[in-house]
This record gives sequence, C-alpha cells and structure tokens, in this order.
Amino acid sequence: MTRCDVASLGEGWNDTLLHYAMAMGELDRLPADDRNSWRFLGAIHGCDPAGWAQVGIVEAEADLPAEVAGPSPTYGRQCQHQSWFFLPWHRGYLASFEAIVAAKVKELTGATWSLPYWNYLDDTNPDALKVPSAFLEDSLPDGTPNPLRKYRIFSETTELPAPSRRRFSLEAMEEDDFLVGNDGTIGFGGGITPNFAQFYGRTGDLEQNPHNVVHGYVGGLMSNPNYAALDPIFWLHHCNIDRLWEAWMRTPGKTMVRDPRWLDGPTDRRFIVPSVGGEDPGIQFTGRDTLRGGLLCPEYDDLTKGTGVTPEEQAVARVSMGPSNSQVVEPIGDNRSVVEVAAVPQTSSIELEPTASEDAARTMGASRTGETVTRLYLALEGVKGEAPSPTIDVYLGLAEGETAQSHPERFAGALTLFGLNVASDPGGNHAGNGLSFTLDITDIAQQLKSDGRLDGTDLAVTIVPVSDVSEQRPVTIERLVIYRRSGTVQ
Amino acid sequence: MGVSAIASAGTPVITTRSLQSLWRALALVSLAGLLLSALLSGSAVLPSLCTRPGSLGPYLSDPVGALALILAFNSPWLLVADWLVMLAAMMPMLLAAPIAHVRRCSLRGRAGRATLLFCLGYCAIWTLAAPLLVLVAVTLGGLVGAPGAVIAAVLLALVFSATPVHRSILNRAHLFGRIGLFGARADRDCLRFGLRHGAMCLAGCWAWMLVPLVAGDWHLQAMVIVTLCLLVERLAPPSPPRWRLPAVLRAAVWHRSTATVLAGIRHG
Repeated sequence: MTRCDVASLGEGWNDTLLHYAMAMGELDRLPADDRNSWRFLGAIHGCDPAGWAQVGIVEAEADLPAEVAGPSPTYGRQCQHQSWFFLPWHRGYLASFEAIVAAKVKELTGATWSLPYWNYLDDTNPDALKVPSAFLEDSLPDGTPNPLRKYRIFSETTELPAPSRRRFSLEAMEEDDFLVGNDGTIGFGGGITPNFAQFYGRTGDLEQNPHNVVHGYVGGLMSNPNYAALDPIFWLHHCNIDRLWEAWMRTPGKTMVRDPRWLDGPTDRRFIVPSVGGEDPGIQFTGRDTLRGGLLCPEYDDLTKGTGVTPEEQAVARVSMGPSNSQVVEPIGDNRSVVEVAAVPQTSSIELEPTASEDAARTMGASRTGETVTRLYLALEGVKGEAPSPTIDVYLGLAEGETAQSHPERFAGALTLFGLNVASDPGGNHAGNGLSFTLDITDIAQQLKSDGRLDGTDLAVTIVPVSDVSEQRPVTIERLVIYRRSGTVQ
Repeated sequence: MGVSAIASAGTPVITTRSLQSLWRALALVSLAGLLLSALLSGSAVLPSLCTRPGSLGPYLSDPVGALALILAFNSPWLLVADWLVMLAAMMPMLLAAPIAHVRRCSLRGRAGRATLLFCLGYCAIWTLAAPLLVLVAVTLGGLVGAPGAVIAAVLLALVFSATPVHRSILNRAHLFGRIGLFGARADRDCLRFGLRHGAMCLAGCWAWMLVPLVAGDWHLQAMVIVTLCLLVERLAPPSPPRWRLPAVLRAAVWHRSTATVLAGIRHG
C-alpha cells in the first residue's frame, strides 16, 4: 500500500482517519502485555513505568510486561536517536505499526489502510501546518469519544508555527552526506555507533530539524521520548520524516552510507518489532532491511511536495565537497568552561586558532572546481538537563550590550533538546553523556566576516533559553566548539 | 535512482582508518609490553614476590610492615618498572575509546601531547594504587598458596564483575569529559581526564589485576587471558546497574558479545 499525504485524503473524518481512530480504540482496549496493544506499541519507543502509572496510562507498573518495562526489555525502550540508526530503526517501527493497524482496520471494516503522513512543510498547502482536525475532535461522527484525543493530553497545539530558516525548515535536505568523516559529528543521518544506543549523542541534521522541532512544537506527550509514541499524531509525524529520508536518498548527489556496520547493525543485538498477532519470534531487522528492496521499505505517493528536493534531479543548494571520507572535520576553537543556562541568556566566548580560522574564513565561499572549500559548524557538546524537551536559541557575534532581539541577523539556529532527560541520566544506557548538536554557521560566519566581526581570535556565542529552561531545571553545555569541515569543490 | 543503485555507483564506504590505526598502535604497545614481560620473566620482582612471600609470612597481618620489608629488599624503581611493563602489556587496548576522544577533541598539532598527558594521568593512578594491590596479592598468596590464590583471585574477579557496583563503575568509564583546545587548559583537561579515567579503570579492574600478580610462573599467560577478559568487559555497552552474568562468561556462551567486542575494536 502507498502512503499518502493526510491533507490529500479529504477534510475532517475521511475514511483513513476514521478507520485509524476505530482501530486505535480497539488496540487501546487490549491489555498492555498484548504485543499489538496501543500501549505496548508505544512502550517500544520509550517507557517510564512509574510515570505511566502516575498519569494513568496503566493502573500499576506491574501491568506492563517485562519485555517492555523490565531492566533489559526485549521490545521496550528501543528508540534510536542521535545516531545513524535513527532513520532505519524508526522505519522498521513504522512498518510494524502500520501492519498491525491495517490488520485491525481490515478486521473492523474490511477496508485496506496505510499510514498517512503529515506534510507540514508543504508550502503549496496553506493548511499544512494545522494539526489534522480529526486529532482535535472530541467525538467520532457517531458521537462516541474520539480515541485519537485520548493521549493528546497536555498539548494545546492546533497549528505549528510558520517555518523559518534555521528554526523550522527543510535545510537538512541540503546536506549531501549521510555522515562525514569518522565520527559523524556532521551529516544528514547521525553519528556512527556499532551498537544499539537509545541516545548516542551525535544528532543528524534531519533528526534535529524538523524531527525534534515538531516533537517540541506539538508538546504534551510528544515532547518526551518515554511517552511520545502514545500520541497518535506521532506516527504521522514520523511517517513524514521517513518520507524525507526516502526523498533525500533518491536525489542524485546525496551519499547514503553503506558501511557494513550500518547495513547489518547494530552489532550487539537486533532491532525487534511485533508482527501482526504478536507471535514469536517477532520481526527482527537491520539497516539493510529498511532500504529499497528490503522488506520494510515503504512506498510514498509523492517525494517532492514539502521535501525541499526533487528526486531524480541533482540538488544544487550547496557546492559538492567531494567524497565523504576524503573530507576533513577538525576543531579550530572552543570556549573555556561549562555553560549553564537558566532563566536568562548566557554568552560564552570561543577562542579560535588564528591560522586555522583565517584559512577557514578565506575558503568559506569557494565554488570553483578543485578549490578547497570550508564550512563552519558550531557544536554544542555534552548538553545535559532534567527537562525532556527544552528549547534554546543560539546567536553568534553579539557584542556586550547587544541583545538577541535587536540582532535577529545573528541568529545561528534553534535547538529542541528532545530526549535530554533520558540522555542525561547517569544510570541510563548512555552513561549520562548528554546530547550533542551541530549548527551549520557558514552563512552567518560569512556575514560576520564581511561586517568585520570575524577578524579576531574570539567569537561570542549567546544561548537564549526559550522554553522549559529555568533555575529549577537549567541546561548545561559542557563545551562549545567550532569545527571546520574541509573538502574539494567537485 | 534507487538506493541500491546509489550504493553500487562507486560511492565510498565511510572508513574508520584513523580508529583502526589507533587500535593497531595500541595492540602493538600491548604486544611490546608482553614481549618485555617475557624477556624480564627471569628477573621480574613482582610475580615472585606475590607467590613466594617467604619471609613475609610473619608480616601478613601487618601490611605496612610487609610493604617496608618489600621496599627494603627490592629497588622501588625496579618494582615501578615491573608494574609499568605490566600496565603496558594489559591496558592499552582498554584505552582506545578515551584516547580517541582526547585526540578528536584536540587541535590536530596537539594530539600527541594530549595523548601523552592522558596516559600520564592514567598510569599515575595505577602506580599509586600498586602498593595496595601488591599487598593484597601477597596476603592472598600467603594465605592460600600459589594455585589456590589464582583460583581465589579469579572467583573474586568473577563475583565482582557480576555486581551492580561493577556495572555502575563501567558505565562511568563511558563518561567522557571536556577537553580544551588551547594551552595549559588543554593540558590540564587531558591530565585530569587521565586521572579520572584511571580511577574508574582501577575501580573496575582491580580484582582482575590480582590474577597475574598471584599467578607465579604463569604470570605471562595470566596477563594475556586477563587482558582479553578486561577487553570483553570494557567493550560491553553501558546498561543499568544490576546483578548479571559477568560479561566474560556471557561472551563464552553468547557469540553476539564476541561480535560486539570485534565491532568495538573496529569502532574504537
């Protein structure tokens, strides 16, 4: 079955969304230890047993089976973020979910069903940013309570904010490489890990924006990885992220990873999702299974609208920097100490290595074939905190006395720190190393250079708290680093 | 163009050349340490000290007295040299991930200096702890004799490896701190990271380190086996602290753990 844009299916209670709601209602009535139940499916992404009991998702922690809530769950807490497994794992997860819902729809109505996607960045649709109305209705057409509303708690979002560059956009699609160099500090798809890792700490561009951003904008359960998949809009959001990946892969000039550790990984365990009916052994899969020709690869009705690329046509948004593994990524500047952001903006000065930064500034705009070309990145490493999804804005080059509001041209990017609570837990699987993000600051660095503000050896970085950052729940950033990525214009 | 077409169109595999080079270099250091240990096996003080306590017998209940006696009859420098050779043989491959972190976080021209400072901090912690470990080994050797001491040390190491405390320590060993880029700040960070990582390593590996100390004539073989055991434990991914089958036993019965180790070696 082909997955379609939810906006193309008709207003209000079209068949696809009505059947989704009916199936969800039935799946939600199943006990949580049924592998096809709504709650079991949600816990595969993430699960906080005590929290689930506290907000009434289950009556007691004991209602959750060990295979999703135990200390070493077979099915539970599998979501892969901040690594190169982010995209393939979620693709397999979507495929399992879609098959289970489709089977229930077939059983209830006899109709076929496929998961629709929420194409929120489709600039040809004036209503693209609106949460589809079926997710906001109190009741179904027959007057019974709307199951799609049940887990849309603590969220009052009915429409996403307007897209804007560096905040909520398709800039990720401009990146040509799934990952660059050895460690994946920079790239479309996230950093290398050979192993299963819920929050590994190296965010890919697509995950950062729009994935994290939409999780934060929708809010409520969607903002916390331990609850997010309970919200039925989660699946339409991830379906769109998955479609963006597919569109990116099919665009000439993009370099998809084909490292065996990705294709056959992870090494230490298999990803597993339930089959329809939930019988053993479930569906185990690797990265390879999610690619075209693999069992878990989906079909989409359209890969152009709202994707920022046109498959089969060469993308020209950026100059090509050559093969991923021949590009060089190296640090050329960092700040002096840990930054703690609470209620007010914090500025930290980055010391730059003079020779390397001069060289970088000189080669930033190169475009002639064979020339050395540089892009600059600001990395926020070891970002830690207790909130699940706080947001911060980052500005560059603000002098003392200048404010972020009065200098919007110095805006380097917005970050939604999705999963911060999980990644900062010292007792968790990630050892509490926190999250890491990179922002491409090439354009703004070129602007600063032409304004004469990039000729010294220091660069001011200002972190502005936007939401869910407070004195009680501050965000700490262990290190701010400027990376230089160099390649040869192709 | 489909993915399969893209994959077959000659696009490069993301290589891990620098990490593989690091692994190779560390393996060579380890091999050199083992060869040196083999060459020195006739004159090394530590192994015979721990398995043939001899005149230390009366001092077994007086650790400070025993230590004084050891230092009175053996050159402290020889003891330290023995210890460093042992560390060089056993520990390098445990340090691939932190050394990769140190090098990645440093300016390209400072990578060697940063690695050296990290290793200095790391070895300093182990060397400071050496007298205590030797005393424990001497006591163990004196109490149960040579073969019994090895069995006791292995059992102690396995039990300790099964505890939540051990898992918690290993999790902390996966925690990497900030490394500055410039000047004294960078040097200090590397040294401090070496000290901290050394402390974590000591807390997690002390029990296994007793095994070669009490192995006597089998000192060299014990070093090789324990090195592999430590590698298996260290490369197991972080997980919540709880009682569990030691990673080394899991590796023996579950081939995936072995695969994890091999992948870890490739990845660093």
